[in-house]
Amino acid sequence: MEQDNFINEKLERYLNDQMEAEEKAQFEKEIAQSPELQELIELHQQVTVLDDEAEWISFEGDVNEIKEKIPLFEDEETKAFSKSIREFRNDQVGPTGRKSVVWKRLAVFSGVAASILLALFFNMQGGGDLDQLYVEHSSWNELPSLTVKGDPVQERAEVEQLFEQKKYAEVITNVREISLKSNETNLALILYQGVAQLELDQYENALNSFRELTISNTIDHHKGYWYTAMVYLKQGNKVLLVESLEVIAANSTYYNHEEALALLKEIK
Amino acid sequence: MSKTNDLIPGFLRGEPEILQELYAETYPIVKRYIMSRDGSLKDAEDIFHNALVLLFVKLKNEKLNIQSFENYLFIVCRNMWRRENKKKRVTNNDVSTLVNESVEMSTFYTEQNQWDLYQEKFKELTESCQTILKLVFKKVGYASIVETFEYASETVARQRVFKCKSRLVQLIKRDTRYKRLKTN
Repeated sequence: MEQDNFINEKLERYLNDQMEAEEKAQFEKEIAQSPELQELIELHQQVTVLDDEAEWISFEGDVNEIKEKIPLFEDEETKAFSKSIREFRNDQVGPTGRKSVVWKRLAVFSGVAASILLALFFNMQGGGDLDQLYVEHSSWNELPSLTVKGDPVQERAEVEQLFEQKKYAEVITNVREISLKSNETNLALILYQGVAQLELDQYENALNSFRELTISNTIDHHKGYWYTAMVYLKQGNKVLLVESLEVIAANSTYYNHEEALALLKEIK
Repeated sequence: MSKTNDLIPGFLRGEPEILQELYAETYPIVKRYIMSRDGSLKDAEDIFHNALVLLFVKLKNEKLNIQSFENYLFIVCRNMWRRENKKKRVTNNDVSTLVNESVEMSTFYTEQNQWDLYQEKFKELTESCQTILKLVFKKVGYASIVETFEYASETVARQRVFKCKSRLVQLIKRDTRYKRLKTN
C-alpha cells in the first residue's frame, strides 16, 4: 500500500509536470522499464482528453475484437436494413447521388502494421445531455447586425461576414483591431468576439467578454447572462450554468427569460 | 414501458414511422452539430445513416442499457464525427490505404463499446468526482474549478482531480472487458 502511494505521488507530480528535470529523467527511465507504469500513464492521459471535441484516442488492442465484428456488418439482414434506411431517406429528400464518403474516405494508419485497422479508440461522455442541449440552444441568429448604413469603413460589416463564414479567429483579431482604434467600447462587437471565443473553446476569454457586457451600463447588459450560460452549457459546468440561468429566470424582462426557464427545467 | 423500449422493436424492423420520428427529431440536432463543426450536409447524412446501422447491429447483438434511444443516437453520431475529424488531421497521403466499409464500422463498434465501458465506470464515481472530472475534460481552467468547488487552492484542486482520475483508471483496469481489449 505504501509503495502504491509512493508511486501515485510520483505519478501525480509527473503528470502535473511538477518534477525537476533530473527527477523527471529518472522517472522516465523507470517508466520505460515498467509496462504497468506505461499502462497507468497511458490511461491517465487518455481519460484526460475523454471529452475533448478535437480528440479521439487510440490504443493498441486485440485485433480479434474488430475482426469478429466484421461479419455483423456484412450479413444480409444488416445490408437490408441499411438499404431500407437509404430508400426511406431518398423518398423523403431525394437521392443524394453519392455513396457514403465518410467510411470510404482514404484513411491512414500508422504504428503497428496489420492487415486491418489496429487502432482502438475510446472516449467518454462528459455530459452528453448538456452537449445536446448546447446544440439546441446555442443559436447565434439573434446576434445584432453590425452593418451600419453610411459606414465608410465597413469594418464592422466585415466582422459580421467573417462570423457568418465561421472564421472565428479572424473575428477576434478584427474586433481587437477595431477596439484599439476606437475610444469607445462597442458591445455588439464584444458580443461577436465572445461568441467567436466560445466557438473556439476559449472559455475564459469568452467569459471575460460576456462579463464586460453584463457589467456595462447599457440597456442590453442582461444579454451577458444568457451568453455566459451558453459558455457553462458548452463546458458542461452544471453548477455555474444553473447559477447564470437562475439570474435570467428571476427577471422576466431579461433576454431569453422563457428559454432560460425551459432550459432550467430540462437540466434539473 | 419507456419510450425507448417502445421504439426499439419498431426501429429494428425498420418501420417508416420510427425512422420518420428519428429523422424529424434527432437528425436536425446532429446536422446542426456537424455543420457547425465544418462538416457538410453530406457528412451529416452519412454519419446519421451509419449511426443508425451501428445501432441496429448493436441492438441485435447485445443488451444495450440506455435511458434514451435518441440521446444515445446523438452520442454515437458525435463520437463518429470526432473520430472523423481526428482521422482527417492525421491523414498522410503518402501512405494512404483504402478502407473497407465493414472494417471501419466494426472498428468504430469496438471503439464505441470502449466508450460505453468508460461511461459506465465514470458513473460509478462519486457525484463530486464526476462533476470535477467533467470540468477537467472540458478543459475548464483550475481557477474556475477552485471557484466552483470553493477549494482552498489550485494545489488542492489538482490533488482532488488526480484522486478522481486514479479511481476511474482503477475501475477501468479492473473490468474484464478492458482486460480483453488490452490482450493481444
